Amino acid sequence: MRGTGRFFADQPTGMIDFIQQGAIPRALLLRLDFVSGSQYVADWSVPVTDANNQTWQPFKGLVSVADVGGGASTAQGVDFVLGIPWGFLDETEQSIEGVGSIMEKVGDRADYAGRPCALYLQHFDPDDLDPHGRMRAKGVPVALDVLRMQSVSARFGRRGAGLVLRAQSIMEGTQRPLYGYLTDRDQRARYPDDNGLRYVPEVAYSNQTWERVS
Amino acid sequence: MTVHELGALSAEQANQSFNLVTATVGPGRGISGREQVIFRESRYWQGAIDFRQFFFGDRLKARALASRLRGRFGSLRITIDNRGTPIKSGTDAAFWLALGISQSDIDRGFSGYSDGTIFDDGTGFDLPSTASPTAYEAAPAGSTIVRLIGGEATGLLPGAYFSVNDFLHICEENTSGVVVFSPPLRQAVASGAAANIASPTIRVKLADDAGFSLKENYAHHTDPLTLTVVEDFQR
Repeated sequence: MRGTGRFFADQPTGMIDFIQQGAIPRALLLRLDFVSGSQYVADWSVPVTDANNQTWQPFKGLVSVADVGGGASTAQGVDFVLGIPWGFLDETEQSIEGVGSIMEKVGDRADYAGRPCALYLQHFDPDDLDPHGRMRAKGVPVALDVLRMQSVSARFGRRGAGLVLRAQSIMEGTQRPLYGYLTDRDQRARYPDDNGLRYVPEVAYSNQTWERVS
Repeated sequence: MTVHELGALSAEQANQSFNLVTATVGPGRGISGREQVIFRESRYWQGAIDFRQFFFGDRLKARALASRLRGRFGSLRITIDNRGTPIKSGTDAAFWLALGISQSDIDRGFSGYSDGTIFDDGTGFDLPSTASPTAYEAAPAGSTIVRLIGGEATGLLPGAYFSVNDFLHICEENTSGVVVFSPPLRQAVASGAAANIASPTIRVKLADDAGFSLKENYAHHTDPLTLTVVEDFQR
């Protein structure tokens, strides 16, 4: 389905009325696209199935989101707190669906750095239950933020321990000059192998020393 | 991981209360006076167990258990008091009486229609099963409806507990064994899995690292102790 740019374009009719109710079940869904495979986690204690039939595994108390917000003019970074690192779980705990494997994946920088992740909001209809009594999804998931995973830091303290996965919104940097400066540093950030601006001075009035070929 | 048994303490529990903790969120009440409440299925059990005292040998057992738990690290299995719903603790006949079946029906081994008539061949409906309750069909994680058969299942009263694999659930509605319950199944349940109604169990952790600190009086007995515990999801 082509995006029309309208927030509710893909939502079923009646969705506006539905989300204006006084009480409403919702789930935050987090998709982490590791090189070795995608992980689908939700902030519920039981697995949830979204409108696209994707099942999101419970992350229990182990994941929390520091801040969700953004917009075209903000440089947005989001921290996902991933709880206790994999190595600190004992053998039986490591086998929890989805949880342990995320700890394992964020230990390998090549597996996550620069990879996309996305945060969605899914509504559920409390009156529409499947035969097992689970609430059915209402409307399609709404993307709150689409980010790129950047770095993982570990935090150990007297009262707390956890892994923090920092992700940067793809909206980040939209207020900066699109092409940067014509300096060697910026050029290499764009094209790492391009040495074409190597001898362009970055600081005015500095003496540039040319290499002597012996 | 080792699961410790609270039942290892022979001391009598004075009180035992378990409640589901619900955490809804909202943006706060608006100037219109209304607020949208957002529900997430993240409920978990929290419980409090009161011990009046630990005397003599109990005191040593309690000390040892407190030490083995290592604060919030250890997992503790607790048997839940499920009084109020019919439970088969003695003979089949006593259980059928508790379910409301008349003595005459129990004596003849079957029951008739509500107007007293029976089948043409002189028999009637079988009396309810007294076998251990089990899940009739498989149910995936997240289910809030499950069909239980056998024993105490059909007579399980709304408000009573049952447990599956040490996960505690509370019955909200029961239609001939089709039980609507909370919280949702944490794990998929296979067909034929045992449901424990006679003595439901739950696995918990201490809510606080210092939650099992005994105050001992001249090494003779201890002050009253309240254990505050939260559900352990680990299996």
